[in-house]
Amino acid sequence: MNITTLPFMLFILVGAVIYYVIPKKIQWIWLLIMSCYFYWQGGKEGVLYILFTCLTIWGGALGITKIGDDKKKKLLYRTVLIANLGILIVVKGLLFASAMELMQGKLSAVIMPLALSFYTLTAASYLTDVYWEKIEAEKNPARLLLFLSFFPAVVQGPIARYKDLGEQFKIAHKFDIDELEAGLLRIIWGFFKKAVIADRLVNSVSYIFDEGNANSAAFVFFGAILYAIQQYGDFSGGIDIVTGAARIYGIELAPNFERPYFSKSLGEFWRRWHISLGAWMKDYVFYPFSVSQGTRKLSKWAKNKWSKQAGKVLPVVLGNLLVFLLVGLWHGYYLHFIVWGIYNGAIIAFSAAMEPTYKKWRAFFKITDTTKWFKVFQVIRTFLIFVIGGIFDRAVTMRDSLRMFKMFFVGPLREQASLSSSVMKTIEHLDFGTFDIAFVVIAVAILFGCELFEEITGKSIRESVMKLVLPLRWLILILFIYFVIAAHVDLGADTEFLYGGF
Amino acid sequence: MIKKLVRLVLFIALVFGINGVICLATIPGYDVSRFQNHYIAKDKNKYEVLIFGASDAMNQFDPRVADRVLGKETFNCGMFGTYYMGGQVYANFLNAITYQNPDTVILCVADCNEDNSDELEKTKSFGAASYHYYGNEMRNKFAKWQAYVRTSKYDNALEKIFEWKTQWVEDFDENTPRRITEGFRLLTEKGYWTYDEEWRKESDPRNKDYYKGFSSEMQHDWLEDAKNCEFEEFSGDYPDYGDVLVDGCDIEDIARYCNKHDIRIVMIPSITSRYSIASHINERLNFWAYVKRLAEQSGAEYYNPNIYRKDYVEFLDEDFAEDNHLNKEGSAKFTESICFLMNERQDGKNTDKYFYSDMSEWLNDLYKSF
Repeated sequence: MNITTLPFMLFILVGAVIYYVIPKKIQWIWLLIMSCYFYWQGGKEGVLYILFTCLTIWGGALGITKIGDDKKKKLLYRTVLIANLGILIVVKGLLFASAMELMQGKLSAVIMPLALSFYTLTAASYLTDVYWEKIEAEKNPARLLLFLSFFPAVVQGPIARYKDLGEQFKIAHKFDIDELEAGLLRIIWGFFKKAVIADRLVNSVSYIFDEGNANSAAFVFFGAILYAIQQYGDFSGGIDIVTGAARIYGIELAPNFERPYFSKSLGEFWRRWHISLGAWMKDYVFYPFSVSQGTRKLSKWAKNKWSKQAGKVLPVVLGNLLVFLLVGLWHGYYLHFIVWGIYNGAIIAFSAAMEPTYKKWRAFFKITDTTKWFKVFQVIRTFLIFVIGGIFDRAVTMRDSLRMFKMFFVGPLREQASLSSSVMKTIEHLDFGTFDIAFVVIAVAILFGCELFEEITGKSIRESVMKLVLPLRWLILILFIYFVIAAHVDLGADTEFLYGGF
Repeated sequence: MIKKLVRLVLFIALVFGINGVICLATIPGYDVSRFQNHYIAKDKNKYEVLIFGASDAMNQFDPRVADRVLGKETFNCGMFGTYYMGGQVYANFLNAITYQNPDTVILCVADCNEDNSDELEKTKSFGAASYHYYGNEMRNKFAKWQAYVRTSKYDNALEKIFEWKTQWVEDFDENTPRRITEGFRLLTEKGYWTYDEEWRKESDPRNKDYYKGFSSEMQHDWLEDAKNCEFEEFSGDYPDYGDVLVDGCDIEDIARYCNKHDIRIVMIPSITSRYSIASHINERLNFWAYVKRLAEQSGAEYYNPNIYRKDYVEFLDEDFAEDNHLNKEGSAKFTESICFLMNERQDGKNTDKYFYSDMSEWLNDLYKSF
């Protein structure tokens, strides 16, 4: 059941009516039934996988709390963790082998269970938190299953933490009209990003990246910009839909995006883009790696060999490289994803290493944290760094990414087509009409305007609109809803999400 | 809390209310579908023979001729904009029998070929056009609901509610602004609200010939293109039954109802030009076999005008308005021939002599005609 379709909307609305009518004590059971149905609809083949994860993690967590011996505890923790992460690694590997035809068609039946990556990381965080004694182990496996399979979050995240999400299932939820209203508006906002912006750009991005039509730096740049917009519309739009759906049930999902394109550095960008994955990597990879015995030894060695600063920076540099290497692998076992991960990790690591120098430069040029032009420069610079890195993320193969990357930086200038001619060529090829172009431009302008407003004022655009006088508020909402209906591409269609197959 | 809930309900009602007003103007007031649905509801229990099907039914079965030959009141419920006969026709049938008590139902079963298989990919989903015109105008709310669910798929379920999106935005051209203003202008005219036939004829540029649901197809310049078509090679097998691109369950539902209510039922596969037949020979034979089987299973009479013996009736190129639709003269010929056969059958006579019994002979004659 795709979250952009009418059946999903009916599913959550009818489900919500029952949810608020039944006794509060059994609300979580109803959510579990809905989640199981939703998961079953997403592919019954995946049910065994999630059940395995649930049972092993549940049993493992209970075992950890009951075993007194630290060594045995550690062994159990590692065994359960490796078993579950192993499934993720192996399934992704099989999919890769199948896609590469390494197994000569023998793997044609490999299936990716719905949201395997998301619930595995969610489960790993739960197990680790129990092991670290941050939370208590859940005694009821059904409650744990709900935590892992909660239907809005199981599609494409956010990756939940038990202390945030799991605890919410234990609370009685009263019907709140404000929550319903906020949830519905968030869903419409998500549809706007997904169906109006992202889906309208799919063909253009595909034309440039998949069909190898980018034959100039401007064309590559144009394609990469479009991809950045499409990717944000698709992923954050999907998150808005599921967050809105959960909110109708009084459940708050962790934020996953915070206007990332207004970040002033790549490090900040990754704290505002796919926040739950970034936070997961920070808590369960970066920090454990940074404080591990080996890293501490290395840091000490660097301090003695080079400088105090080197000893301080080295764990950060290596930690970032490791994190982004894993993020790259998380996208798939393809070289271009790995390079994309290292590209991001290397820039962040370099920035961390250079921070003292940058500080001196800023002091020399009398640039402070409040210097506006510098902030704008930083935002544009960060956006461009991300956009250029996107070439590796979106290209079909490593060879394609390198070709486009080379084209962008060292392509012969004389043969370069201008940006305007690239735009015209794409429009012409895709047979874009006036409406197509107008819708994209207006929609991106609305998105940018709203995010700029939120970035500058720190206020939520939705809350600001809801504070307006009723006629004006309704007028804005109706105009927006009608714009979404008029400008969408297949609203309610069974369209795929970029992060849907993770 | 209650105040807020009422406000939310009012807001949703306002969104849909505005949509309703916009949609009202989207369907031109003179549209045939409005008049068909109006008169089928208004002339309660008046019609003894009802004709159902897609545009081929609407354009080919002339009640003026049928009334005369059958000696009964006939009404044509054919729907334009329908690519195949299925859910939307069933819903139209449901709507019609709410107000009429026919003794005979004629089903003109249209087929699809690979030329419009893209439309067929959406099978259930298509019918957007027919739903737009017919679904909206159905007076029976259950039939309207059936038209919606039986023809909806994910990708157009919402578009059937917000149909101005398809009509005005996706199909936008230089005439759209004129169509929009025209739609709203027609709402201000008295004839719109009184369903005045004369007003309709004056306003409608295409269907001036409308009569009891029938409207003849405008003549198209189709022959030159048709002559250039490539003939398909005959597979050598005369099919007994095949998988055809038509939604049989909806037709079976209609037949079931007719049998239950002792209504005479007649099934006729759509008539197409000899060029269209020759270029899709295998599909056509397959499709006819399918309809024949459906008719046998449903206890319906079956007449295939495509295989009439030439000494009975011969459809010439001049009888066609385009490849798959007869013109006014052709439709008169068609209606007369079918009604005659129905009378013959009613009188207990065997009608097989009017058709080719040997398909290889028919095939030879078909190829000889070029």
